[in-house]
Amino acid sequence: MSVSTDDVKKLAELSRLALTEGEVEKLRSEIESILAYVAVVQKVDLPPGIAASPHLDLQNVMREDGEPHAGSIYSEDMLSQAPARDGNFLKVKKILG
Amino acid sequence: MADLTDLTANALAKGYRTKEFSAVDVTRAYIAKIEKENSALNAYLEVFADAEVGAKNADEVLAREGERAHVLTGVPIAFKDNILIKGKIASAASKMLANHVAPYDATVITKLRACNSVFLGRTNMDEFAMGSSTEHSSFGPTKNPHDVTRVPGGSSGGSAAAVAAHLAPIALGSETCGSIRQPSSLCGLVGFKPTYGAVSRSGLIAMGSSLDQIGPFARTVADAEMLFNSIRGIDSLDGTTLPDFSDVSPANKKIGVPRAFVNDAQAETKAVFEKKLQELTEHGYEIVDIELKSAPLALPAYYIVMPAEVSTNLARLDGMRYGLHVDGVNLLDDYKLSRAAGFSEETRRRIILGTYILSSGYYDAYYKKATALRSVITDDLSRAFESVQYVATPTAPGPAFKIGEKSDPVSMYLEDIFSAPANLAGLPSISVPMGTVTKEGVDLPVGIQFMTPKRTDTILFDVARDVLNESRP
Repeated sequence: MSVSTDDVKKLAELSRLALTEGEVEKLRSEIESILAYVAVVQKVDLPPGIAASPHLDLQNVMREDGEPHAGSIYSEDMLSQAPARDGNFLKVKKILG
Repeated sequence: MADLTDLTANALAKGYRTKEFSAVDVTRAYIAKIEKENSALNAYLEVFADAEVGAKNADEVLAREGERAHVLTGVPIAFKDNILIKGKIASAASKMLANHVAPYDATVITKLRACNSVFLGRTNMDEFAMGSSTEHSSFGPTKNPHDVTRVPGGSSGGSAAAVAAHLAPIALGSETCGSIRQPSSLCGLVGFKPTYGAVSRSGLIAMGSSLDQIGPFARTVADAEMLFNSIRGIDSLDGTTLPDFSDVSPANKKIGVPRAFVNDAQAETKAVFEKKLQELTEHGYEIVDIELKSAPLALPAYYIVMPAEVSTNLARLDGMRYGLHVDGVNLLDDYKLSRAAGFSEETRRRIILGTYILSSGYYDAYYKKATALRSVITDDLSRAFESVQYVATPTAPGPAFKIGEKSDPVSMYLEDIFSAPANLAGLPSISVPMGTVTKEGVDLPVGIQFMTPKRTDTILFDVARDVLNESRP
């Protein structure tokens, strides 16, 4: 499977990663060699009737409705980790143009 | 009196009860040894300033409760840096989270707090647990205590090096594919990966959520078993935890060996493995050749499933909510610059790879196929367990390798070739020292690993004891 530098740039855009030209080229050849290693998976003939996933025995776990915790008791612990905040809001750059 | 740092966790528990020494004595001995020796190994990223406060509290509990105190009361424990301890930094050895203070306790921490064990410090690891050598840490590599020019394995290399160098009696690590067992093998320890769902993942910084599991490092089987028993159990904060399962006894003493698969190990390691199997026959075990046709496909399948989960899990690190923020000209720029500055090479590689695998057009060819392959591997192992109680392989292909030796990503990935089946199938597996291999005049440890069916974790400790000739506690 060949990977182009444009492919890597597109993937970097989707992954929200700024890369230098040098990093793009290095990643291109590395991703290509990793894809060559995992290519064997694509060629495997799956036995008929095989489950789509090994975890089909799982079931949804629901928590009983109960008394909620008091409001905002965790807010300060969480927000203290924010790079920028305005009161109880995260502060970010303009989202809509 | 023997050096306190040479004692096992169980011996410490005994000594506390006979009042030979106190938890404060032991904790001070460990901190003094860490101060002297950690700089050469880089096993710890931080030693907790309040460790001694914890020890003092434990001594009070021991004085008050005596025999009723939990066996881990006052026992120091080291933690991999991806396990959240409220109020302490949890960085996952990444620049992205270098100053990130955990806002809550992981469930395993809540449990160990209730035991009044002593929290010694947080240990080095490959960034976000991605790697097999601890060279991918943003805070420098950890060295192997058996030979400081070599890696301790990874990704839980700091925890492994700490326990091997007697800088902690026991430690917790986490495994997505081999990250407890492989460093145990390379450092000469007992390392245990529980059944997926046996231990809560709440408060473990996620890497591959369908694979991640926390487990113990120890110098004896009894210590590993004791630590596992103290952290296991169903948890309402992790919907994938299993209802508590009871201990079982082995149905037979047959060990299945997938010969074709084991051929991927280095010749010297294979020789030690064969010798150990021979010795096990003297303990009444029967060695049976088995076929595990899909086993060699496990690692390639893992390198599809895992990056897909990594790229999804790490999307939350956006420079807005917590972690590193680098300012750009607009919002998109903030994301891209923060993530580029926060993530190092291996992490970026896996994010890009995962994004590729989950792209429209490739999802079916890669991710869906790999997920179905997990079922094939699981079925293959289930068939094997119809005739044998255990499946054994070497834990890793060889002993500890040199720092810098595996610069090509795929050569590093191959370290986990024998680990992958247990992780993909969710089975429990243990690594136990089986002997040494000599490289450049240094004896380096190598481990043997055993797998059993899901929820039969405890019988792995039986065979592990026989490997080490350790008596039942």
